[in-house]
Amino acid sequence: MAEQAGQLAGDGEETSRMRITVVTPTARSSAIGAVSSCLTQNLARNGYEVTVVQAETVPPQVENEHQFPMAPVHYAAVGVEKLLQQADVVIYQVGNHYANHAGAVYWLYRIPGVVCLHDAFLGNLFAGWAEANWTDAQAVLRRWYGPIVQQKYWDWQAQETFIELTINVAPMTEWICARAIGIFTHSSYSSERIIHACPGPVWSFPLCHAKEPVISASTPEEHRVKANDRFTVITFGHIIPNKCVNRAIEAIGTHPGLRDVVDYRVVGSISPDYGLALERQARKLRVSLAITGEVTDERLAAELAGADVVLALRWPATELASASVIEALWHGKPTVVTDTGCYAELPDNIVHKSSPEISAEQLGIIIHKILSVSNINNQSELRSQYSRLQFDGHIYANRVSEFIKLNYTTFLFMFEITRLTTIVYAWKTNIHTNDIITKWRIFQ
Amino acid sequence: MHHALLREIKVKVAIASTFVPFAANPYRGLVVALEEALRLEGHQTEVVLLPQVDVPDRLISQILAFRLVGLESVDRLICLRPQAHMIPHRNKVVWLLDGLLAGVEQWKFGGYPIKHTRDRGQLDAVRTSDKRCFDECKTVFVGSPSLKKSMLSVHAIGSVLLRPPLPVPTKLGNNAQSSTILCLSSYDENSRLHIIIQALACSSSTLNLKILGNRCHPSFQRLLSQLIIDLGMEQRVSLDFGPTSEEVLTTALAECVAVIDLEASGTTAGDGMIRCTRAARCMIVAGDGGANLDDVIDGVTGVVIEPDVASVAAMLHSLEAGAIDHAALGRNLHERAGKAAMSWPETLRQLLG
Amino acid sequence: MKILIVNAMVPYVRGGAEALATTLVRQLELAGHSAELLNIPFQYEPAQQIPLQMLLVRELQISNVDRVIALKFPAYLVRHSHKILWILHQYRQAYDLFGTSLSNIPPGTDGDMLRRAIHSADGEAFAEARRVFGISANVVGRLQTFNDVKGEVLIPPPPDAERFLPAPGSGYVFAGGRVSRIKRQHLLVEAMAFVKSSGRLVVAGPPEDQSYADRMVSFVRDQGLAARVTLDFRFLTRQEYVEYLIQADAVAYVPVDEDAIGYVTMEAAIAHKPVITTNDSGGVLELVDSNVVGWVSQPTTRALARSIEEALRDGTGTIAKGQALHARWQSKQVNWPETVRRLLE
Repeated sequence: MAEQAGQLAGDGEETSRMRITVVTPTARSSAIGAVSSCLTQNLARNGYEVTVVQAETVPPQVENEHQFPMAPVHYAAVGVEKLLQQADVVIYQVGNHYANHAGAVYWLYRIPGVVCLHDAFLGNLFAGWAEANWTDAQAVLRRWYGPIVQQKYWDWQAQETFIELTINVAPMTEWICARAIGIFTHSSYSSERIIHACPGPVWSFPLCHAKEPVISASTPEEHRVKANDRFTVITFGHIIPNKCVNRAIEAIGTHPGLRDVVDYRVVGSISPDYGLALERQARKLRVSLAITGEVTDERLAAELAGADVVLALRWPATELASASVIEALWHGKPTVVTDTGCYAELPDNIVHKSSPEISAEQLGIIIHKILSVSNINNQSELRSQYSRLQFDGHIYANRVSEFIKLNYTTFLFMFEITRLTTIVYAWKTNIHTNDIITKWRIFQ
Repeated sequence: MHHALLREIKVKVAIASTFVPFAANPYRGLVVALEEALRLEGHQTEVVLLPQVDVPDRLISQILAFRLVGLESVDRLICLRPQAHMIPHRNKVVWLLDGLLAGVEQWKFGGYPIKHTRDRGQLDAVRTSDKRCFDECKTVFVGSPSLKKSMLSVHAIGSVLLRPPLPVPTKLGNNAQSSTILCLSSYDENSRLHIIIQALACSSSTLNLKILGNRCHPSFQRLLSQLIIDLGMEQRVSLDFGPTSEEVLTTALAECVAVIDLEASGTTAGDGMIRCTRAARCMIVAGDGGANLDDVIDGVTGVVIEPDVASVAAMLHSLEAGAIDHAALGRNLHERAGKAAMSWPETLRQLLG
Repeated sequence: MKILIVNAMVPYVRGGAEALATTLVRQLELAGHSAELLNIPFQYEPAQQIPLQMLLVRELQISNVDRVIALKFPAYLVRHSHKILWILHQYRQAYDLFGTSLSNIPPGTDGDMLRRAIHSADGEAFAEARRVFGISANVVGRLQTFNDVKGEVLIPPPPDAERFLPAPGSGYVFAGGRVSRIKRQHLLVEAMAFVKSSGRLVVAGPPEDQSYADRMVSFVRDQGLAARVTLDFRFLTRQEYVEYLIQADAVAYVPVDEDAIGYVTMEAAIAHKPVITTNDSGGVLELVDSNVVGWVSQPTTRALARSIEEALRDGTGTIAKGQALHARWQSKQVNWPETVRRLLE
């Protein structure tokens, strides 16, 4: 009576579309939002039914949002719970900035889903969430890092060196990973913590280049912003201390071959105080420094087109991929990175690597070496091609799709296991995980 | 020596099976018979029946729940109807009568096509956990040669043939005056029910047809209902799909002339075949009937016909005219199956060994 | 209607709860309904497994059923749109028995968490139920005290009352039912050392704990009471049990804080036999509430010895008490048709 089970599995083509909901920041200023925009549009083109939930605490104005296949819904809006429950898979985009990802954390606690992890360090996200979830936050700290760290954590959090103090001791990676039914991320950095904490499958593949270049490498010279015939070195993005602009200024100012020929441009949003401090430093070292503040996409493209070297330094490096590096390589630019974290995985013939300590002397040597090459654009095509292949948006979406399809059986079990453990936790008790893992391992 | 020792050693045995309350399934009788046989041998016996809803997207949560059942005080666990074999135990065996693992069956008959990654994922989840839980078993026993073949080819699971001892047919009453042919099972167009109905309509026979089943593919059910109306057969054909009690089934078997199952190339015998054999009723099957032909030999232990309207119509005429000794065929079927099965003591030695 | 009775069972253990479940199925069928019994295995050792057992029950899926009648923890956690609870007992180890030697829940944080979980889950189950009955005032009282739930008392009638026909006593006191520490048969056995009358004590039933049974056997042997104390530790057939009871002069039943009146008490009352009990026997006192219908003493061997002595010596008085107990029982109108009606109304 029973048919071959294999025949059953082949019955019919997939005629109904899988529903994917992505919980993400949607503001134009968010690089993760740009990734989501690229991903959701590609998924929709591939036949998925895609919905988007805005994760920001304050949703941006419509004109300041990225493009999505349909209008996003704010995470606190009525009906979102049903939307998430009806999805076949929910993808939570998670980064370190609480204001951008509050909705993701909120719903991840309630509706199981896959996490796309952008940052290995989630201390700021955790601190933001802890304000309204103090008891649970204490329990999280104790669970993952022990009572001593739990006691000291909030003192550390109050300090300016918060990231340095906690990145190795309590990065909070495990907190989010433990709640995910599966994770995909963009490098193998911090993979041990991620795999240890996440009960589901963990994949890693390169991040996508999330926007089309406004000016291509072949645009005529007159469209590029180039004030003079000096060399232009740029750092761009959200300018905060971990981008090591001060080191770059020092490197340029102390290297005899650089100070008089380099214009250093810092492009992107920056706090006034920090900007002033950098300008003071530059004046002291007689470095030609220009700070542009936040710019449009078109302006950024022009700045990149006119750059001779891009500095994408990070210390500490907590992100799992860098949109800046992808952008710089897309434009074929010689790019200097720190040899740490996700940057260490980039090929040596594609990027230039500075040691993690980023000594000004060594950095100066690297920049000088790049600028001394007779044709500094001779590797431009190689870099550009590498970026387009590695970080192609269609390929990225296909990889995400593959991750979901190949692991869907596991996800089904994870949904149920999450639901069941939620019932137990609602009884305000624990279950001994070893007992239950042994019993429930049958789906592997 | 080994058997003598086993006779002396009394163990704490539990029989685990699943059920839908108030709905018949072929394992219910086996549970009762097995329990009685174990008690007669002096073993402490417990029956664990777990309720189950055989709907695909509720299977995973039920499987996870069954994995929480604790039977550590039990020495040997005998699992019958799926998904009872999901219960974890250090010393378990499973004994299957048919290969219709609940989840897999649902996709075929319940109107749950594989149209979606989610469907495929659920099917894979059931298959994966089935395999893991079968692997946990000391032995997988199966009730028919066809099922043994199917378990190996479809599920890559080796098994041991163990045909359940048949009960002596209870006095079901004299069906000599009966005028009903019975169909039992779950259905789609492979069951060829429409051929039987058409044959009934064009045959000179005045027999009636009673169709009982747990599930039917919705579109096929609509087709059958319309066919019955179009052929004016409302008075002679009854359709009853849904959970059916043991009482209703027993009565239907008692009152029927024969049981008919024309499904093609089934890899395991269905519910109809199992019950018909137990009840010593005449079984009518198709020439391409696969596992049904394990025990049905034309003219000896049943009737084998071509699955076309003319052949079925001719058979119905012969049956009513008395040209087919259905009572003898039913007895022979029962006897043949009985001979192929061991006695209960021997069966228990297999299950507890 | 299609009615599913849901009970929790410990494999290979049979007692009053199991008998009640089976009887309920039969009585529902007699009343014209279809009834089936679902016995959910419950493994409560080690105690930290209990939340998983609760989860198992919550996740069982029941279809094709019009009503569910659930009897015990954790069975009554089962989900159904029309669930009636007829509570034999909650998990008393988490409530009134916590902190005693009868509880398997450890003190401390883990134990507190477990008790909280049981309390939470109980609360969910009670809130979901259409009606909540308890088998005795004791059970209903505990529901109110611990869970703030107003239950209704619904005493379960014995399964085969018609078998307990009154018969003349044969000079012994009978203590029947499961033999266990909580039933305290040892007090009766030890009391016999102080009983001067020539009458006997018969203790009969399956022991839950062999070491407890062995202790009584040793006592009888060491005290030279073999001629006057019969210890029949095994699972009795129903006929054997009935004969023991109806031929006794009186019945002794001295459990600690029993949840309900107890079948032993009811069967004694039906058979016109007075009951010897103690003032801490819980639900038994709902029926045996004074010395008019039996003997209620302190739970000590001396006090029980006096009760046994009187029961064996004062034939007329004993018979009168038995009749009074029977009348008290009759006045409660506990019968199956009425019970079924109340469960399903």
